[in-house]
Parts: sequence; C-alpha cells; structure tokens
Amino acid sequence: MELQNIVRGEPVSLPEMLNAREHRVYFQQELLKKYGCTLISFTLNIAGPVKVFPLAVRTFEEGENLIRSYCKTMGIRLENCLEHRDKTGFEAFFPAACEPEKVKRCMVMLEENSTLGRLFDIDVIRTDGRKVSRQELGYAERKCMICSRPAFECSRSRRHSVSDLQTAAVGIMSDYFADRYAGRIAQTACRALLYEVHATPKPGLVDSDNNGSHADMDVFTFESSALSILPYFKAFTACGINNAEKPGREVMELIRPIGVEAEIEMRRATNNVNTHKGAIFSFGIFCAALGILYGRSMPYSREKLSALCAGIAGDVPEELNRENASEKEEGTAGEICWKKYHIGGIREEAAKGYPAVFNIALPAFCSRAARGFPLNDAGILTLVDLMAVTEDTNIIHRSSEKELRKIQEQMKQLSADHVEEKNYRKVLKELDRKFAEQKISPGGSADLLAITYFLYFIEEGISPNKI
Amino acid sequence: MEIKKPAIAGTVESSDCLVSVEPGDGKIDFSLESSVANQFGHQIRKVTFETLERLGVDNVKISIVDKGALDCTIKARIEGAVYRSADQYKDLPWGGAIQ
Repeated sequence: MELQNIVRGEPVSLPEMLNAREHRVYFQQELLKKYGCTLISFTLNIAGPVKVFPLAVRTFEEGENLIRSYCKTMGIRLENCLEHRDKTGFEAFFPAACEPEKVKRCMVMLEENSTLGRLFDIDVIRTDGRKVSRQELGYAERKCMICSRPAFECSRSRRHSVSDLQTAAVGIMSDYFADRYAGRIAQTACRALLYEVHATPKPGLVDSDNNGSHADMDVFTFESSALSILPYFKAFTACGINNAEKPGREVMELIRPIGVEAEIEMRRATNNVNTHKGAIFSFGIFCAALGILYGRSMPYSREKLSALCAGIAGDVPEELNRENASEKEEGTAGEICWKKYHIGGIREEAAKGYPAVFNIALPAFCSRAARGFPLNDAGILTLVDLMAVTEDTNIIHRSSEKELRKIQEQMKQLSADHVEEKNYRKVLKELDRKFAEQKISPGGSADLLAITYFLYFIEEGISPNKI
Repeated sequence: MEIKKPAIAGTVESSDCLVSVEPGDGKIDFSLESSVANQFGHQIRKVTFETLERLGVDNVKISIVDKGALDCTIKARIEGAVYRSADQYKDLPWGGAIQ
C-alpha cells in the first residue's frame, strides 16, 4: 500500500507538538507526586506531522501490552495505567512499584528484543523527576532506524527525509503484524491437520485407533509430517500478503515452489511416505488466500475466501491436459484418475473455490459444533458428508471409479438415515474395518476435513485480520 | 522586550530543549549544556543570539539544556521562555514571532 494511504490522519503543527511535550512533563510530575514511585512513560517514535494513524494505534497498543507483559514477567508491579490519546501522539504512563534502574533494564530489554522496539520511546523516571538513561546503566545509545548511526545525530542534522523515516517506521510496523498473522495462520493450519488425523474413528484412514488401510504410516507419521510443514504454511501466507494485488493465477505460480519445498520436507520427516501432499496443495491455496485478504485489508468472509481460492487455482485443472499430453510415466492419484476417467478431483474442487467445503462441510461442521458435538465427532460426521460428494481420487486410485460411486451412495444413505442422531461411532467403526479389508482410503476427503477444521478455527478466532 | 522575572520553557525530552531565562546584568549571558554540543554547539549559540535580537532582548541570563532539538524548536522555546517572563502564559506564539 502507498505510504500516504497508510500514514493518514490529522497533521500536527510544531507549536502543538511543543505544547504537548510540556504538558506531558507536567503530567509526569503530577503522577510522581501522586504515586511516589518510579514512572514509566511510553510514546511512539514517529517522524513527520501525522502522529496518529491506524497502524500506529495498533503499534501503540501492542507496546502497552508488551510493557505489561515484560513487567509482569520481571516481577515489576504496575500501580496503574493512564493514557492520553491526542493527535500529537498517544502517551501511556505506568507508575511502577520498583527501583527505577531495574525498571529501565527491563524496558531496554523490551526495546532491544521486540522488532517493534525501535519505534518505542520508553522513559523511566525517578521519583525526583530525573530519567534513568541507557548510558548510566551501560547500554548503547539508540541507533537511527535507517542508517544505525546514533539516533540523535541523524535527527539533529535531519540526515534523512521525513518520507524515508516514515517508510522505515511503517515497514517495521507492517512487517511485524504481517509476520505475526502469517505465523498464526500457520499454527492454525498445523492444528487443523492434527485434529484431522486424531479424529476417530475414520473409515480407512489413519486415526488414534488404527492405521486404517495403511501399512506404512501411523498417527505419529502424520504428526511429524504436520510439524515439518508448518514453516511452509507461514511462507504461503506471507506470499499472499506480499502479492495481494496480483491476479490469483500469478500467486499460484509463486506458491508452487513453496509447495515443492514443503513436500521435500514432508518426505524427509516421514521417511518418504506421502502423508500430506494433497493437504499441502489445498492448505497452500487457503493460506495464500488468507494472506491476500490480509494484504488487501479485507474483512474475512466465506464468499471472499472461496472466490480468492478459485482465483488462485483457476488454471490448475488445465494443467492436467498438458500433463496428460506429455505422457508422464508416473503421476499422482489425481493425474492418473484424470487420464483414466477424466475426473478432476481436488484440482477441480479448488478451481471452483472449494464448494464441498463452503457449501457442505463447513456449515454442517459448525452446526454440529454449535449443537454441542465434540470437535472429534463433528469431524467424523463431516467426513461422511464430504465422502458423499467428493471426487476422491485416492479412493479411485486404490480401487476404482465404480467403488467410489458405491461409497458416495453409501455415505448419502448414512446422512439420509440421520446417522448423527444414532450410534454413528459404531457405524463408522464397522466401516473402518470394511475399508481396511478392501484397502480403501478416502484421503481426498480427509484433506477437505482438515480444511474444514482449519476454517472453523480461523472463524473461531473472529476475523483473521484480528489474529 | 524586558526580562522581568525568571521563566522556563521546554523539556528535556529527546529532540527538545529546556530554556531558562532570568533578568541579566546588562548583557546577554549564555550557557549551554547539550548532548550534541560538539557538532552543534556553535549553531545553537547562533540561533539563540539571533532569536534574542529579533525579540529585542539584550539583557538576560539564558541557559539551555539541549537534547538534540532542531533550530525551529530552539527558537520556539526561547520565545516561550521570554514571553512567560513577561507574564504571557496563554497562547504562546511558539515559533510565530520569528519566521
């Protein structure tokens, strides 16, 4: 986003700034008198005439929270928190019942540790009104955020332009929040994969009871796999954030290499077993789409997310024709099924914006969770819904298209019989036994169940922009 | 202008300065304590004398504790201190009298 669209707010004049500074010092003196203890005074260090804009407010609030957390951890008791929210820049004051040097050390640690720290001005004032300086405690003076010369030198000589300083500050702030968002999306994706594999019983799939139709993997293989790909979920999201204005198809080309790397890491973690290849594909698209939402500052909605997924994956089914023409010897289950039956599988589902998830699985799952079903049970019941509609190429690949149609009918029947009101666990356990005998594994539906858990958790955390 | 009584303006926040004035003994008596005295001491002195001249102040003890203030801030703080010493407290023309 352009700088002038981010640093948007009421400009302040020099006299207003000078008045505000004097008032701040008077107020500090009043607080020192009233509380008779050390005082922490917190402001942001933002160059230019506009001091208050949404990103700065968020940074200020983050700073207040960090001060509280650091003090709590270091055993510094804060007596109060007083705020001034004026256009000359927000200010917070914390009277602290602790010796000033200890408080200053703690605040320097915060300023140095947090990536936002460079934007924080945290003064620690003794009861006699004198500030504790960094120098007297043996710390280095603060560095300029652009060239790492001593900060006062650059500011006194106006070495850098206001717009360069604003760009640097806005960069630090946006990177911090984007990084945290991407990290939390990645955690949530990983959490969803763990919930999916632990949901029990699942017909033919690895779960907490057994390995279903699989001889080469168990629940631990899946856990190892899920953890190994967490950093790539973060990378997919960051890629979406950084390329939010590009067309979806271009974003697909940018996330593809991340997916390739994720698969290499997955195979390393699982001793070359394919646990999450399909999941990497879909989670890659969803993470990138959530990144785009963030990058465009759009509030979350299912409709928008679905449309973004469709935009990203729009060209993917086309590739099957190209891959078909090149007559690759070995392919994925999805590629082979396309050759044999012209079933597009997950690629078509993705290109359509995941209708099975948004129209069927997610509403059904959320409704069950709201009615008090445990997340495990809401999950296994939603797997039935997904198996009824999914063109699961894992099933076709390991048995046949005819078998897939039979299973879809069977699942539709279970739903029609209101299995969720009956002994569904027993029914699914019995199916698990049958599937394992016939080596049927609905891996494609399992991936979509993981996505369903993922979106449930995302929505639970309210809008992803608030994560 | 005549400095009638002691007055101060400003703070010792970074990028600011604290200016104190009091009646002088017939001349301008200037003292400076600055974190950037080596690089900018001369410039601060120049700004101070120019500002006092334009305000018509020639009999004052002025002391400045500087924390890296820009010239415009130093000018405005000197003005503030001088106006306060002449009993003007409200609507100080920070930086206004001297452009």
